[in-house]
Amino acid sequence: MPGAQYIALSGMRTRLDELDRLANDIANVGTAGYKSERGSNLTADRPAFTDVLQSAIDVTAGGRRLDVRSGAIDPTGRDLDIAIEGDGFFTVQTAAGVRYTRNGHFSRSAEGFLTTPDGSKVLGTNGPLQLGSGKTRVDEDGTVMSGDAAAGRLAIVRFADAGSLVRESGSILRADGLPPTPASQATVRVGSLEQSNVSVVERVAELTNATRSFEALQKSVSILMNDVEVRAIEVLGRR
Amino acid sequence: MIRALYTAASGMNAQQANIDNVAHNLANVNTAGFKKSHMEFEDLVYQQTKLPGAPTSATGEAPAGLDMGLGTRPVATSRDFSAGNMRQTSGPLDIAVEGDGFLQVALPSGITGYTRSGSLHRDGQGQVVTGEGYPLEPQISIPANATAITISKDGIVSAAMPGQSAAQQFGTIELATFQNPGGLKPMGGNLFTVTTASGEPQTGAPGTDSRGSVAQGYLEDSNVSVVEEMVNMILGQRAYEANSKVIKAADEMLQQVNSLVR
Repeated sequence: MPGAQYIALSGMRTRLDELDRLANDIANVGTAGYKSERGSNLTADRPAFTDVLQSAIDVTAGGRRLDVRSGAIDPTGRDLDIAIEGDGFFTVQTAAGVRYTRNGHFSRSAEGFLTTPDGSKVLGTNGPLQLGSGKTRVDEDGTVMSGDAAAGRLAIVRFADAGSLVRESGSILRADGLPPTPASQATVRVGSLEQSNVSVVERVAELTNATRSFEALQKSVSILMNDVEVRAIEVLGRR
Repeated sequence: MIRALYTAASGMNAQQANIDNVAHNLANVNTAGFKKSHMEFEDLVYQQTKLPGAPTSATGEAPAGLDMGLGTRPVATSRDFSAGNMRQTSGPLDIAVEGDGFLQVALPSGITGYTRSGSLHRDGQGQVVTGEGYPLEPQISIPANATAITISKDGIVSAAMPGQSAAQQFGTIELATFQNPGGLKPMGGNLFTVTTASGEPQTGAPGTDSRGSVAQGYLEDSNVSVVEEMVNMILGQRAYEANSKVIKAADEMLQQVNSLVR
């Protein structure tokens, strides 16, 4: 098979990956605090073969970066729904270690800890936030009041390179060595929840793009395989 | 096979659950003391294909990783315990709780149920019961010949008895509050029961701590907002549609793979 087919096939493969990425974004259009990802394709790097296979410059999936734009802030009226305005992430203690999230849909556990929907403890600047029996109130600067006593202050951090955070299940992000710095200017909005930042319009447009370019590539492979080669065999074979 | 098919299917399932929840809220728009719930979703595990920082050559390393998400799932229905509107009624045994407290109800199974629906009645023995006939806890009995039943803000039930000038007291309605009302388990009939997540009830007379006071002659309406549910319904329906478009796209692409060879 000549190189052209491999190029087109590699293009088809990346479109399938793109479809997977789009499917995940569209499936999570209703997930609070979800961050979509920007993918990129690049020409495959093949230093050892460039001289031999000049034509075999194929494409592979390149890196991805988290799209950290804020989602729409939706007022819910719940006391423990907290949205961060602008830059910053909540810090949570999961079973696997410290993680970060923009999903401020918190609740109070039976022991009085402020937790995420998964039951991970939300961390304050001085460890997990434990609430007393009084009514919980969260101030704009992230100070958590339980009754009249302060229970602590939400540990809201920012990253210089937030796009490199790695996603985990449950709108949770892993830092993988990126250093968090306290976001002292962050303000929180209580009674609101940050929605998913997936734009359905954008994603459906990309979906059309992926399907159509897949179709074009399929046509080129099909023509090469079914017409060009068959014709070549016919013509050359007659001689 | 293409992962996108299953990913989009998970999205459709989630949105269907969302619509189910909207339907439940809307169906209870006239249920006194009903508390609306909200469906929460979370993204599923990620399939890691390339770790960020993995070496790409002897000297270079990948600046960004490659992982593929596998969809979404409903994770919780969180209940919104905000107060509904107070509606004035003429029933002397219609009460609404202004605050966080729940009325306590003795269920036939022996456990205690908690409710915000204060539409109470007197049964044949004069006992104060809920619409379903379950007695309040602690039990309160009002004799049949009592008139002008009064329930004070702090829950004291009194009535005028024939031949007596002073009103007679028949007991106090107690309220219960919870550390985490969101952890209460709904069991139908406007009733909730205790779970480990909700914490043990703290009972006491109305007006003490943050239990709230009792308002006689009022009922608490459902806190469902029809406008909000309509918006949720439209969003859910459109998201469902978008997910089905992904399935269609995946299907078309598979079809094209099959037609590679003529």
